[in-house]
Amino acid sequence: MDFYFFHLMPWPYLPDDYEQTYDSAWVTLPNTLYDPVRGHELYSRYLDELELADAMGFDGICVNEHHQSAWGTMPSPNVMAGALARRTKRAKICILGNAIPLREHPLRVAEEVAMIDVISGGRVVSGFVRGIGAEYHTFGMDPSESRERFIEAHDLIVRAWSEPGPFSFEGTYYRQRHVNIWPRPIQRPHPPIWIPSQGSGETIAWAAERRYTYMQNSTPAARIKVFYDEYRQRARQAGYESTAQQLGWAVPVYVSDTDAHAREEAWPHIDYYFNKLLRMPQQLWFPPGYLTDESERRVLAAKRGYTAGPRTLEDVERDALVIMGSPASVCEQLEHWYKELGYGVLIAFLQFGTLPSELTRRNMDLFVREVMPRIRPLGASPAAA
Amino acid sequence: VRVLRSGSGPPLVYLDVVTPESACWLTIHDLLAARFDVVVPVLPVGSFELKAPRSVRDLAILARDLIDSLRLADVTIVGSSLGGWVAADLATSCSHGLAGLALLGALGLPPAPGAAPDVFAVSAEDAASLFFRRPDDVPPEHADGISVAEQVRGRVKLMARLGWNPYLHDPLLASRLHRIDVATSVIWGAEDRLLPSVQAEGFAGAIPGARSRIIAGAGHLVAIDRPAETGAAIVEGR
Repeated sequence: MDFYFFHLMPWPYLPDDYEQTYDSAWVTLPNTLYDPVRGHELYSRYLDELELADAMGFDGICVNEHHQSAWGTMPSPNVMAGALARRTKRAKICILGNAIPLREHPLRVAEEVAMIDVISGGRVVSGFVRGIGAEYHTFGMDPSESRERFIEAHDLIVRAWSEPGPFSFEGTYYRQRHVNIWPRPIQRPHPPIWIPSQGSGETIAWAAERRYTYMQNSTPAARIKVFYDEYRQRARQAGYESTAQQLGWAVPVYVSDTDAHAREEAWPHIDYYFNKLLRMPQQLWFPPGYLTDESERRVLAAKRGYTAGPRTLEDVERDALVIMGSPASVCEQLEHWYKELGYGVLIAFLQFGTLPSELTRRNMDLFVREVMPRIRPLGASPAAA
Repeated sequence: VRVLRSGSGPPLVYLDVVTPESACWLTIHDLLAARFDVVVPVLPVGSFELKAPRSVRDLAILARDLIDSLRLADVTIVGSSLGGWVAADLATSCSHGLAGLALLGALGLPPAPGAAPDVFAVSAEDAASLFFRRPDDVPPEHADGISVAEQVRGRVKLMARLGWNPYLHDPLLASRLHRIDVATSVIWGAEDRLLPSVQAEGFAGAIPGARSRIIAGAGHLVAIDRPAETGAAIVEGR
């Protein structure tokens, strides 16, 4: 098992009247609620936590991209990855991911990620995402072109990294007569590519065919099994057996001395994470054309209730949307889901919602000392599932 | 291209852009069929995955080809909503053989900043009230088995495909409207909440000789909310 420390860099200072006054933490939440002075303190704290994770022995530290949202305050993950590249020494720096169809020109992503790969001495993992539906509202990009732009942007970036330049690229959305990026990435032929997804069938098939690590976010564990099975099936159709290292599970984890303490300590922050930061009307999540009709049915079934109405502690425990408890209990849950799902990459959100610095650090410490050693051997052999 | 056709008299092509499942013969078509040979193309916009047509211009060319292949001479074109945009585009680029043009709540011109809601960012229930004056009162015969909610969903998806950004308009259309040299009526629902009726002035002011008619008690889909008044305005406009 590989362990990755993931940070969303959430905004923890939503006002008391947030739920009465605003319908979403995305797109339309007024940015007057963002206080740049507190933002400075938060960035310092959050970057410290990522750097600590490197020092503590996580295999990787992860940042991601979201726009106009209190959910995550990293519109540019590459800025954060750049900051981490010089301050960390060992961990992979995972950008999960760049929302490549949202860029007017994806070559800029190829350049920035190559820069970070060179600065960090070849430690970058490059995730690519389409960006969630809300971000198509943010940028005015046409959601019905999103998938085609994603694939074309990916093709251009991978070619720019791996093929000798200059060469020309003629696509439907991107055309460039001279592709010839300086610098090139250190890792050959290019940095590892991961694909975080909400479970669209097209994305699963596409990732499996290319042997990219598939990472499932924010989905009830029972549904994740369906998606992983589909990935394994698609891999077989492509002529190979996928390994557990190709299947990443991204989930908030909270460890305390007892199950009762874990629930008691984590719940207010989990509540904030699910019931405040994830509040978003359906039409913002999935603008018309963002999903194909078939994927719309699948994803909406997988996420049923995810954005509708408050989630209770029982909900999130039942669906394994959060793993929490004593060290022994967290290990049991991770082992159970390993047997069920066959994941080999655990992308743990050890900070979530309003979880303060002290609890985050204690959570990290318990996780590294009490959970990591016991779970580490799992997935060393081909997946059980 | 499949067409619905009935009536006798000079030809009239009625353009609306709806999903094929939602395409049906409406009360307004019946009213017009008393005076015209009414042709309602079921435009092949197909499932949402279908790539073409990707533009209003594609649909305008398709409609022009249909008129030519059916050998419709001196044809009146009526276009509603997205179909009004298609009709305006057709009339600005290849208006030969047209006898009249009626634009009903036509998209295509930029709404004044802040004057129109973002149809892509409202809930399904709210979207219905942007199209119909009272969604609950939409006559069932028009729906042909498709619920109002499903029809609205289809319309919003097609609008997103053809008019996500720039929002429901073509920045160059206004500069071409002067080329329309056929009798034109601009007809709008007084209670259009998708695009307020002030939009009618944009078309009527730019198309030489065009007249505008605001229909009381009608929303964006003026011909469905008020078929008799809309039909009369189309006939008077010729």
